[in-house]
Amino acid sequence: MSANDSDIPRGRAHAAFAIPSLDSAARAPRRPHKAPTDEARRDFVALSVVLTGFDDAELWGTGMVEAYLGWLLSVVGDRHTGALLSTSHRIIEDAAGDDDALERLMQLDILADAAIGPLARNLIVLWYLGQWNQLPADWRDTWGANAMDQTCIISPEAYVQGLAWPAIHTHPPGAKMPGYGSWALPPHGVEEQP
Amino acid sequence: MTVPQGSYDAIVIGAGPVGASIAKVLTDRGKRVLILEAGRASGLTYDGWRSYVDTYRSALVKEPNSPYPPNPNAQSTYSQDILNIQKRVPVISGYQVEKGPLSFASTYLRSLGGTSLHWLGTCPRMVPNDFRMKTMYGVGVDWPLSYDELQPYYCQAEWLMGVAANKEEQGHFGIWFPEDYDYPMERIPPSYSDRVYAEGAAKAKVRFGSREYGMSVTSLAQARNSIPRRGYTLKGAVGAQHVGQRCEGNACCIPICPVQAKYSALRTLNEIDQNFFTLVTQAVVSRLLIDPGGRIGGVEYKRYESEGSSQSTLGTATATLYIVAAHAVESAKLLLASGAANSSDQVGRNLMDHPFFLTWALNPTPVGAFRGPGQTSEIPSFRDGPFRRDFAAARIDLGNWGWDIATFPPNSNVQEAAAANVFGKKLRHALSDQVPRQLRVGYVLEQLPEAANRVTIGRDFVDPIGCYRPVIHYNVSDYTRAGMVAANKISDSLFHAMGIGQANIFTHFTPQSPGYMTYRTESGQEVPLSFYGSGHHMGTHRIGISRTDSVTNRNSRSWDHENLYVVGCGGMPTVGASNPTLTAVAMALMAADDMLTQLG
Repeated sequence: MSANDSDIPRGRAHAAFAIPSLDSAARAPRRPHKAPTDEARRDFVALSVVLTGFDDAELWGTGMVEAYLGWLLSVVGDRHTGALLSTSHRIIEDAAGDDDALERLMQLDILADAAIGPLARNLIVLWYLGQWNQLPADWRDTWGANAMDQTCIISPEAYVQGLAWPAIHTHPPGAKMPGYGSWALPPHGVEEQP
Repeated sequence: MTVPQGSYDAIVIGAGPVGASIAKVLTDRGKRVLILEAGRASGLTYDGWRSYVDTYRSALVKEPNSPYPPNPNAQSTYSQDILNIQKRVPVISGYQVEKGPLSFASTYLRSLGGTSLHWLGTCPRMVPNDFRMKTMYGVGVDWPLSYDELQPYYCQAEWLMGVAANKEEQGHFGIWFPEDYDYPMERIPPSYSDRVYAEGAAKAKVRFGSREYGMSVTSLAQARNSIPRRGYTLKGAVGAQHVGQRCEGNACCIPICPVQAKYSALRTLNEIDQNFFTLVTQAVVSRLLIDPGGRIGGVEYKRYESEGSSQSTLGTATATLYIVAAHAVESAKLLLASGAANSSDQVGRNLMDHPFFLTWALNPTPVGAFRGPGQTSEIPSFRDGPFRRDFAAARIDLGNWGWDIATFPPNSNVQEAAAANVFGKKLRHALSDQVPRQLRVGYVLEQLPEAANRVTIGRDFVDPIGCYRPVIHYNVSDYTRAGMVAANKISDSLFHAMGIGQANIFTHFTPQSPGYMTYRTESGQEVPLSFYGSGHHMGTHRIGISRTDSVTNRNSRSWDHENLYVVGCGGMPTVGASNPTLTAVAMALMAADDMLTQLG
């Protein structure tokens, strides 16, 4: 497609998503992206676990897995999403449970990569803040500027489910309110009243 | 829609806390009131309110006006539009035109309910010396009334707005309460971090001149639902009364309390007897019409059909009394546009804010940042004292939301970490370790009235329906800048007494900091400073003793037009270090008594 195809890491080749028939796509205008396969969702969650430091049940529990994978597919398309997921699938297999090895492979094979590195960084921000950052200018120059690629909170729910809030042991301001007087109690990590 | 014609006793311009309070008092006594409000009425239904909450949640910049959709025909300034002035003026990035030399850093909201939709709800009374600054300290001006005279109206205002506090904790610097009086609700419980501050404050000492000052932490009076006292009925959300009968700890008072446990003027508007009350929204009053005899004979307003269209219809309305309660800036604009009430040349002048100075640090152990209302306690120790001859008083707010507007955690932490390829458990642990320990102290600093700090209008700057945009001239004097230098000294002694070393104090200012400026000390040192707006626009139509140096008398009645009242925070001749809404409502209730006398 372009001279830059060679820049896309060649991971284990798999279809990241099932391609529905044109008929069903036409009947489902609310789902502009194709429905991700189970395999793609598993790989997406596995990658997200590594990027966020939250476990798979916590990520599924946000209710945002479908929305975030769908967002990624809509903004950067099948090919880049597939490249990211297949690379992460490979490095997780290669690391074989060794956290240091996985950290090294994540840095080298994903975060340092011009094509999929920015996507991984964006997924960190998306999971923690519900925010999509417009991709860097050189990424957009090279692989195209999708109209949806705008810096935004992708939905009210994405903000509410941001992982930054549980990470700092509280709730998102304006949601999941903990109740009258809760702020007077000792916070997480403190036993005693001063 | 046309405005129902009829004989109104009063037309109130602006449906914020002040206009709504006056409408409530007048209608309670059987007077017929028309309110003209420039903004939209979406907040009157609970569904409308929930749509504001969703708008907030999906807003990229969660600044005070972010929940409330932009309205080109009744604009508000958004914080992100307020830029430091470099060389060129005016700065026209936002609704308010900035002529400098500094940007006026505050915003307000033009919507039904006014800025009370996004205020924090802090309700301190002013201290007695705030009303006699000239006599006591030789700066500013004296008020035409004393604390003792305003005191009964403070009590009324606290019950009208629903203020939670314990009176035995509020008697700062001579503030007194009637023996049989108490606030309508018990104090909001102080946060855990307030108690961490209190331990340090008890040991902290700071010296100014020949005098050493100690510090103490006390709970903060705030218009937020807690446990009611005898005789007070809790009021929940408008259109969903069962919601919001207690503060639920949403930690989101600014910009929106999702359950309306925080007072807003919508609550008062909702309680007004409909038999005596007509409310017209999307009606921007553009001019007061002056009779040859000097009385106000009518108002001219522009009613627009939607935000999306600049089509508007011109209408007029008449009444016996006219009450301008449109906000310190908008009221001044309207008077200037009408050539009204300005024989003193004070309209629009003496614009003040409480420049908000921040210091921030990391506590050795978690304090539970981002829990509870924005602040639940204060250090009142510097609201008055002999130092006021030399520098500004400060009310010290102990923030409950980490470093909030100083650095925007946790967003900034996440963005920086991701950009630096920090991810996973390392990222999670870094956030978990740092943000819950964040302390942020805010200094609400007094600003003195100065003629050159002012709101003006000009033909070059009008909005889509042809109404004037405010043109603002603003500076911060050395009196207030010296107050910031003192605040930094207070802050160091507080943090050190809390066991926080210099390495964990992160306060710093660069030319990119909001409101960056410097102060030259007596020894010739240039101290960098920075400030935020408090959203407290005050002083633009001050009350006074004489018609030569003020816009209205002590009852907020115009010296020039006997049936015109100008009410709101603009009426305050000086501002102490007290957040002004409670005082403005108290002054409005005093004015309402005068209106009832006039109406007979």
